Amino acid sequence: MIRDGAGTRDDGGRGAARQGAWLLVLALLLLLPMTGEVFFVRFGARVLVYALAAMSLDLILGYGGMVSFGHAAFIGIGAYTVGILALNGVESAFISWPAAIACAGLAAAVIGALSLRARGMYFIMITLAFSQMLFYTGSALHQYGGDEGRRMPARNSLAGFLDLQSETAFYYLTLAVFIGCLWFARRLVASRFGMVLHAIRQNETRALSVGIPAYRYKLTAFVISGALGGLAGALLANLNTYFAPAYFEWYLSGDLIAMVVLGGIASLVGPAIGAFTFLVFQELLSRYFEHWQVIFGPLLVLVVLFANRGIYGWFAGGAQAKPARRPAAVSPRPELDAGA
Amino acid sequence: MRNKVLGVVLAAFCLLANPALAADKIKILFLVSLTGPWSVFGHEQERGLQVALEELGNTVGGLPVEIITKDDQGKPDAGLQQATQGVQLDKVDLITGLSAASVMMAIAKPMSDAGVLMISGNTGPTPLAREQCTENLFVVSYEAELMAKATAVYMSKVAKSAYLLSADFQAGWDSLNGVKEFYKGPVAGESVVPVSLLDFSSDLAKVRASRADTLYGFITAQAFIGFVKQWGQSGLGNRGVTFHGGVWTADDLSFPAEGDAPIGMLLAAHWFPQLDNPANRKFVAAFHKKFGRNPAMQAQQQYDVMMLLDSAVRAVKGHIEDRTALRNALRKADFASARGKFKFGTNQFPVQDYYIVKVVKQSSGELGYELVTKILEDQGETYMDRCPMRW
Amino acid sequence: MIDGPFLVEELLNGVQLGLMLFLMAAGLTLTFGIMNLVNLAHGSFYMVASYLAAMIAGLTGSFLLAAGLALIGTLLLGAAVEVASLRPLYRRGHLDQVLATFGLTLFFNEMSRILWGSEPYPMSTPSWLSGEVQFSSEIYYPAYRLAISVVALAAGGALALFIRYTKLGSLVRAGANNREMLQALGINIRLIYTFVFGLGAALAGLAGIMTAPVLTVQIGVGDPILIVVLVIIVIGGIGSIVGAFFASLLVGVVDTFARLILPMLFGNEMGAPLASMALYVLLALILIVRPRGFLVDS
Repeated sequence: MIRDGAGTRDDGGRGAARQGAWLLVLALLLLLPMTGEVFFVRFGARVLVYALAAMSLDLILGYGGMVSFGHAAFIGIGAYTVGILALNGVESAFISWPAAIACAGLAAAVIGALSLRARGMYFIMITLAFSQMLFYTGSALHQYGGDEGRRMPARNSLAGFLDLQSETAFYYLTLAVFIGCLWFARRLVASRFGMVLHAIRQNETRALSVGIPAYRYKLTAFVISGALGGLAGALLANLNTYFAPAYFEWYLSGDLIAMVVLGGIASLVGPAIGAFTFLVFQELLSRYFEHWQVIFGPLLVLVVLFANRGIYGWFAGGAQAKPARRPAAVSPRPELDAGA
Repeated sequence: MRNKVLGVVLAAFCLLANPALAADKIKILFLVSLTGPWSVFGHEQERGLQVALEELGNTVGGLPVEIITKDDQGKPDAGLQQATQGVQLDKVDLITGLSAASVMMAIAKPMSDAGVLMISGNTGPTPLAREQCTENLFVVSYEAELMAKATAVYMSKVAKSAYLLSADFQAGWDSLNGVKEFYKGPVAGESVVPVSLLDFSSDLAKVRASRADTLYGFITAQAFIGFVKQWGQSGLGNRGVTFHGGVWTADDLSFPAEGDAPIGMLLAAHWFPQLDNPANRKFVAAFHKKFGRNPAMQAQQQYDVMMLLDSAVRAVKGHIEDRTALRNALRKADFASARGKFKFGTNQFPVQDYYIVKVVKQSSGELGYELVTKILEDQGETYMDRCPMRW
Repeated sequence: MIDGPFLVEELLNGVQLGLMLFLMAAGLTLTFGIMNLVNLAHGSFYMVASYLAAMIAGLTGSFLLAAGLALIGTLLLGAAVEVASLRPLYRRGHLDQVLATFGLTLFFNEMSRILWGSEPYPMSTPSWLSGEVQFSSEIYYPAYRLAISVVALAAGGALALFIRYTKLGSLVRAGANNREMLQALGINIRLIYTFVFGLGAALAGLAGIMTAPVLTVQIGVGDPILIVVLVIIVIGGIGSIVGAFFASLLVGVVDTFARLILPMLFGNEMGAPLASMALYVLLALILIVRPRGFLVDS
């Protein structure tokens, strides 16, 4: 079972077709600003930011089997780090983005260290508890607007390299950051570390019995996921030039989970597709139908019931792929036995 | 698979795109909360808009009007996204509605920097009336802090000792600071409660233990109806405690849900349905005919927004592309407000009268207001100098 | 201001709040414990019941009739939801359950908006419960608040007795322990699950009906309560009615006293947010020390 850990790797004959498809998607992403419609560019950047956030959650949710209901905590920390620094005169992205990653990583280390002994529903709830604490902390920062949040004076500067005030420049930078993180995450899950993580998710007791320090591996994954979440938060604050406790809210954690599952769990790309679908639906349905949630709600139920490998599984897997061949996408049901 | 991906991406983009060229009409983004904690206000604004449009025959200043309604869900992020979409994709001429302070604070600067005109029909956050004021924002409703000031000035006259109760969010803190600045009597105690607090019995017990004869309350969003009911059930009103607050605490939107609990409450208002002037009689009658009850202030405010806009567009003879001329026309506020008199201060927030009204049972058996006193006359921002704008 | 009677009254307030929350927690922990189902739509049943009760009370003028019909309505609604969408979820992980029931919540919220509008819906206390009960010259209580406490205690007691002493109750318990065994014995476990889910929904409904005259009848009114109730059943140990009972009281009292004491210690600026956090700090502390819940050994 352990050998199947790199479930995202191309398998067999469909490799070429898949590569072609990815090139096409990449080309479309690169060409998006050519539409000349600034709204699409901004929307594209927004999708990429949420895609990064959802992908970072997928690292622990899909590959680590840790159902965190508090991922918004790290988005919020990233956004607040960047925002508070900006309001105190630190405008360089070279300082504040690494700071956002570091703060979120540190918070993830603390939260993870305290939470990871809990299982199943208990883990869901303790991560929620920590993000709620951060939410109230953000609301209590009256000098930063309390619950209404504060505006950043402008987007961070990249000291001569790029002018991020331009939507197109910001879009391309976000795209580059996303692709870089995706590359890193794919390498990570295919590495020895990723395999061990997968083994722990499959059967933690067995992993422990062969001498794997499961807790340490899970904590490391949690920290990496949190740090990437912090980067997404830094980008989100820059996109909107605005930060607020809403970025800590459990609704956002819930939306991110929905994006991961909708797109396809434990596939890294799936969550990005999920983010795209989620946001397009939200924008589209709400555009034409005020009561769009009457459609969106049952849609979520249907996806869970009938397409539990998500949209990515539907595209990439095809009908003939046997579940056993794609274990990472099929059986990320870590705590079937928990909570009883 | 290639086709599947391509198809989905293209279809999504085509659906998002909309031919968006404004010609001989005015295109308005009506950005309100239709869901979320402020949805009650957003829907009432929508009713006010409908009454105004019916009266104006679906035109504004002689131009046919197209309204694009968007739901900000009361979330700053969603509100900013919807505003951006409206401006960049739908190419709207201006934004109105604006139910929630947090959304307003998030969109004010980027929209203003982009040269987009905003006319608020509900929220008027105090920071935007001072240092952060901008020539592209007009607020037709009221300034948050002045409602607190009206109450506080009145409380200074009648209260022996006051207990201050507020929800723990920015608008609540602003109101609390406003009351503390202008209320001159003794403060018996103070509670700041969570925004979505369900059970107020503990706080009402603190009020009673403090022996205050006056309770100032700033409770909104989804908690205030519960608060008003529990206030009624607590019997404090029969034991010599008077409630003071903003008029939204008990209005024609919430009267049915609140029963008799709000009777006797003393509320600050810049407008109320029983206010006697020709424009208001016309508006209230039209609203009553359409919806079978009296309007609440959010409807009136949005109605005034449309009447103001109508006067300004008429003044520039439909040349809305000349933003400077349109702004100057808006500043004149040359329209018949249902509030009687209405003008703008240099911060483009209203300079208007504030009243204290009492909730009473009318002869019809329904709840309504009785004028107690006009507490502030021609009141604008207290520190108008803090807004650098001059005109 | 802080004297003996006042502290007693605050304690009563805390217990009161706890009992109100327990009404909601009992149903959630029941379905969670017996069917291993995380049900975020529990708040929706609460909301729908309060709308139904308010509507029927408005039409007929009878609180008891409204309560009875709304209760039956939620029971049937719960059963229908279970049959239509939840059955395949029992064998899935919590993740799928969270997402699917979250989807149901969105649906119910929006559906209620279509049916009943955005405005808060009127519902008043029945006249025969609108007085006050005087404990001393200092302490008096709205009679209706006491009625809520009584109903909560009665419902919790009845539920505990039902599960322990009735034949159906023993089948329910057995179903939680060994689904396959019961099926092999020819017992229709699916029907039992449908019944249990309906019962859980009805308990949420009871909470919605009883609190409707005190709180708001509005869209999404159950959602913030749901988060608190999730905290409660986790503290109490998932599936334990008794645990949920004590955890409810604990949360009610801690919340009430945190809001009394913390602002006195730190001032309102700091104290108010700290008091809002208290519940979550409590939960985190308990789970750090006891990763499988506090009040029940597993």
